[in-house]
Amino acid sequence: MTQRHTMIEARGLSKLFTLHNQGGITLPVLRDVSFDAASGECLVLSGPSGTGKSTLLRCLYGNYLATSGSIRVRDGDDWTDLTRAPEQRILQLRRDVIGYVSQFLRAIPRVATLDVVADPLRQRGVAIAPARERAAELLERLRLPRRLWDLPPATFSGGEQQRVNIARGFIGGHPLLLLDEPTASLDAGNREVVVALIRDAVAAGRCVVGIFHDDAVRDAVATRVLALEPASAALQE
Amino acid sequence: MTAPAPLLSVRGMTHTWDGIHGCRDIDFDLYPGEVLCVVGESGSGKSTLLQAVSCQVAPQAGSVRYDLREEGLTDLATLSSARLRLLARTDWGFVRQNARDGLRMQVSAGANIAERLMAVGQRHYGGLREVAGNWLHKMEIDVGRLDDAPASFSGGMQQRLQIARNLVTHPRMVFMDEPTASLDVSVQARLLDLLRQLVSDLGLAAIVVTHDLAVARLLAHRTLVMRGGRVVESGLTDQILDDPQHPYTQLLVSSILQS
Repeated sequence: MTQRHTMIEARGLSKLFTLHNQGGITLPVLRDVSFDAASGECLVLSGPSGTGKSTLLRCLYGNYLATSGSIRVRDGDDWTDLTRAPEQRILQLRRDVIGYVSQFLRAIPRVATLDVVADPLRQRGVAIAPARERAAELLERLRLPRRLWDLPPATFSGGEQQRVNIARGFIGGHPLLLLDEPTASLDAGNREVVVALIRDAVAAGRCVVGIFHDDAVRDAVATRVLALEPASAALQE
Repeated sequence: MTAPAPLLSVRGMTHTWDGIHGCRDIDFDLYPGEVLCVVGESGSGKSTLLQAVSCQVAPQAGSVRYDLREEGLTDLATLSSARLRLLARTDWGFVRQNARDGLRMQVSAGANIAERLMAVGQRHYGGLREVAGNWLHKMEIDVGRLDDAPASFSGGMQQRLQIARNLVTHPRMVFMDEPTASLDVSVQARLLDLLRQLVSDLGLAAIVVTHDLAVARLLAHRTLVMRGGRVVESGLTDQILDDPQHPYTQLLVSSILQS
């Protein structure tokens, strides 16, 4: 068992959306959120709809800008605050440290499924043959029919696309993995496969931070739960 | 960890055509292998920015520094025009919106591709022909069309030929002005996918001017949003599109049709 170490530290995170074209109204979504998550743990974000779970995950990936607070991420022995890091550093962290599985696959026209999945490894300099081999193993495990592997995923069903998305998110071996409802469009059998993948990742010492609406999935993977409260309610108190 | 050195560094760059229209106070760096999209509506100054950065017009203020292979970051204003021309046809590429403006329409496709190679001293006919054939193949154009003039090509083929013509000398930086805007939607995806593969395979840095946010989403690591000649917002492309901060960017993003 490898020694656990903190992978990510969020302190005092707030996120306020300002809608300039809707009369400048502001929507507070996160207010003063702090947490740590370590390697070998699966932190589940919980709370009713609208409490900012997805918003928090996107702040951790850097496609949402936190309004205030800090998000420190470990890269080996270095720590970087995502809220202040140069864009090149964030891109490098996404390549090497932070993986993200969104709710929907953003399909790239004309690229075969096998290469969509292999891409994160290719970006890290892995040769095409071993990257495709690893992609094939994951697609096999996720039970995506082999006849689909050479086709672009644009025409696949929701569940098929989501399995491609999961394979693409897991393949890079990122030490920090953000999962936004990865099992939402999957049937029971495929959900079990994904649960096993997550448990393997955690057992291998990766740090998972995720959102799971399905209680059974959440209970099967969570090592800890972070309950989020609606920021707007907090403000009204 | 040490930050890599930029390939291009632009500071305070201003060029206006009449004191009003153009671009002002532009600051950005471009790193090797990075694709930067410049988005904004017509008249926002994005094409002027491209022309000023690529020394087609001289900036009236500020500096454009480029990483020359021997000297490192050098202010382009200090280079002779002969030196700039050489740089432009070996180390840079320029892909224009209308392929007709970037191609020689009367000479063969093969000669269009070979021209830059000949300009840097390659003379072996068989070798040039082979390279040109390889590029046609890479750009998904039938190699049998090598001796045909581009006037007989479709718009999508012409655009792909223009890209081959620019990339044949393995430039490090490519400027593209609305590369897909003149194409039918049905052939845009093919061109975008080829561009995406090429910039990644060749490690190209690129500045792509576009009004199409989908082009930015697909190609660009980072995006600059321009309005009224100024950069109003810049950041990672997914951040700009998913969490736009500036009122104008929010308007642009909210105007995209959901597919």
